[in-house]
Amino acid sequence: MLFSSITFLYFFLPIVLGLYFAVPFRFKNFILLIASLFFYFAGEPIYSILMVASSLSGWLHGLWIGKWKGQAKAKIPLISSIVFGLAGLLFFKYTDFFLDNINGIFGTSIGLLKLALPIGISFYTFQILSYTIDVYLGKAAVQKSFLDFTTYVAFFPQLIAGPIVRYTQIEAELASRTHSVENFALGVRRFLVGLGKKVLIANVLGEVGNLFSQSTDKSVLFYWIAAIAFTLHIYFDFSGYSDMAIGLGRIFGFKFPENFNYPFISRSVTEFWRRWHMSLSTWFRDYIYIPLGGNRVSQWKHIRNIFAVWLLTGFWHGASWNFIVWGLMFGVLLILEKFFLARLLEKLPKFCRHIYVMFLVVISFVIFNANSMGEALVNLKGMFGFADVPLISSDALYYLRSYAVVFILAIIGSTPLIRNLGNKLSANARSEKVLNVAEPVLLAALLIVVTAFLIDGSFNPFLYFRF
Amino acid sequence: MNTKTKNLIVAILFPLLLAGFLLAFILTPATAISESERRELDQAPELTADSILKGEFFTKFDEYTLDQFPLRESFRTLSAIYRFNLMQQKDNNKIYLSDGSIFKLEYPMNENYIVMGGEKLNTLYEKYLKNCNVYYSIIPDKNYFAAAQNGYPSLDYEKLASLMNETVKNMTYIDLYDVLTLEDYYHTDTHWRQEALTPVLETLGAAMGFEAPDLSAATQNKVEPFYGVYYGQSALPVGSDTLIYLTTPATQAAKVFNYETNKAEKVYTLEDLDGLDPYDVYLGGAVALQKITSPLGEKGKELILFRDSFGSSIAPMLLEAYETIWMVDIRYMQSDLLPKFIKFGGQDVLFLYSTLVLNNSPMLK
Repeated sequence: MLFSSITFLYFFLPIVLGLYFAVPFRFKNFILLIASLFFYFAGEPIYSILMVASSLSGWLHGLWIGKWKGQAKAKIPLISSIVFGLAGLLFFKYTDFFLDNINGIFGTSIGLLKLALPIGISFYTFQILSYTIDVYLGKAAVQKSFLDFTTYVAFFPQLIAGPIVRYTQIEAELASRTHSVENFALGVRRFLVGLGKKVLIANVLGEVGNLFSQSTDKSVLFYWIAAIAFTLHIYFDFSGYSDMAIGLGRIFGFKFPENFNYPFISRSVTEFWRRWHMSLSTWFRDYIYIPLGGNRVSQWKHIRNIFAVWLLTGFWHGASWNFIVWGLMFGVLLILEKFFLARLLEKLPKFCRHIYVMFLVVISFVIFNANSMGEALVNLKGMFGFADVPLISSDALYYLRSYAVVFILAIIGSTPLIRNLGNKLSANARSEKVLNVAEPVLLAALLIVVTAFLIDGSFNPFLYFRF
Repeated sequence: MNTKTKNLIVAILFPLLLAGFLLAFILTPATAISESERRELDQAPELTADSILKGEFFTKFDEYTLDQFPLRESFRTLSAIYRFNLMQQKDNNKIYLSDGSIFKLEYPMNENYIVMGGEKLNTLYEKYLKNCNVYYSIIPDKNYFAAAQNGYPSLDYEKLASLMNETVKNMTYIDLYDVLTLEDYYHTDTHWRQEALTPVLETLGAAMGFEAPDLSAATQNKVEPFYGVYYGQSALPVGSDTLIYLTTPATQAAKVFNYETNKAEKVYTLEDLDGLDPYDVYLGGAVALQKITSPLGEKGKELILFRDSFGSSIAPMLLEAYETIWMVDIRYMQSDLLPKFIKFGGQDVLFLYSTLVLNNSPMLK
């Protein structure tokens, strides 16, 4: 089920809200679990079993690790939990990639499985792994209640596209949390802002990509427009989803970690990755990079560790070479920045540093968005004038004019400008009063316009569902 | 208002809006048809174990909620207004407005398809029409008069005509580009107006050797308001059109045989005025093969009109010039079947296609 669907907004959500707030606290997790299972079942009827089985495996492994806690043999259930967790992910997500490459290298013709990817498997697998590893490390207590553990794994706001919430981050809230009008209102605001980002900006920018694909009048300008549109699209799509997840969590009394912090204002690639998909990058930092020794090792091992993390980051996003290249590209850039580029960048004006980051980010998302490395190269050639296309075409100019306002809104919206303006106005008692009157009206209007777009539009799934 | 009150309002308003629409959805009876979009609306899907396990139920349920949502038409209008007025988008789902008229972008130009369309005409000539007087003409769609002039992507209409002229052999081309104007088309529909066809009829008549009828002498039967196909697609609050169908003694006397239904029909199917597309009043709309017999037409003269929907409204005005008119729509029938119905030889033949069909010619069978 999509957050940005009529079914979710006007059927699922009001019913779940009604039930959740009608029952006493001891039944609230049960309501959330049932709602979450239904939410997943509506999109993935068969794979719901896999998701529940993964939860059961994680829960049992947690108990097992807890039983041998502090003993050397606790490594056995830990390794078992990692093997079990990754086996599902590898089987469903990566089998065909490996078979395809084996066929390509050895000239064999082993049949591909062509399995549909269970939605959210990359996200919930990482959540479960974070639990068992943290229990082993003594950072998390063993969760004895299967209901509470499955509620954590399956909790519908973050189940299928993150943020990757670690067990330790909501461990206390699973047992006890407070609900308040303020939390509810903050959650509603965050949810609706995310919904607006997805439906009114991301989906509209997605149209530009489709129009580019269909166009027979491509040009260098059009290649750049499509690349920039996708970069903004994926940001608004994914950060919109994260906003909705965080907002829904807040409504139900949970505080999820932030996932984005205006990444496009970064002045280095290193900073970009501190602001983009933060729950994933910190996961890799804490569970891969640091256990490998992080930067407290020799320089070569340090470089190896960085490459290992970025190879896995790319591979996590998809079983395709373009994702691996995308990850490694950032690995190379981060190493370059770490060892010499950062000093050079500091000498440049801020504006140039922004251009440097955005140029590389746009290029990276061209690779990310392609269905293959071949397609990525075709698009990169087009952007740099190596495809047999003119500099400017009438299609490019038309769509640039037609989507100019959306582009401008998206660019402004990807900076903290509006947030800062809001903060400034709130600081003044008089303007705060005006804001307080305007906010409910604007939020209601946003919901109505989003509803209008949904009714008038077509199916637009979230980009990160495919991971 | 203080922050506490604001939070309280938001916390009450949000669930109220969600629950309010849910309640309205449940209480509003399902609508069968969207008249503005001219399509059947999705109804509640059947709940079966099979449909749930295959994931079909929830997909269909999503579609059902979109189609049956309360105030659906108003929401569609709001979305269109937001895109056009606030976002300043030039088009919405390829629909755009210019001078009070609604247009649908026809773009890009499929040169291969245009050549294929010309070759289709050649094939038909070689197979059946060698002993006929064969003409072809191209009806420019509305964009010809407004798209390029207003900065919208547009077909290269001159190139389209040259591609056709270079491809099509053994037929006389009748140029209609210059005899039509934007005013000859409906504001809310793709088609031309029957009452504005005098210059077209004169041009065709001059080339094909018949006298164009005097349309001013015909009785004008007005149907208003008429909302064309683009009206519903645009979802914008624009004015309606008036549909006029012209009756003459020839149209009154003529008989139409519909080979799809095997039934005799009238030139104007008035029951279609209450249907989803009132333009179907002209010869009942899209039909694969029809034979019109006109007792007041010129004796012995026969026309085979290979046509699209534009042909339906011009054919009634040719009933004084021809005793028999075959209306052939090879979008809906295989042309190989034609000899079963038509004995070719000696007829006038006119291929009359709009640029919309030529640019998508694989639909011609």
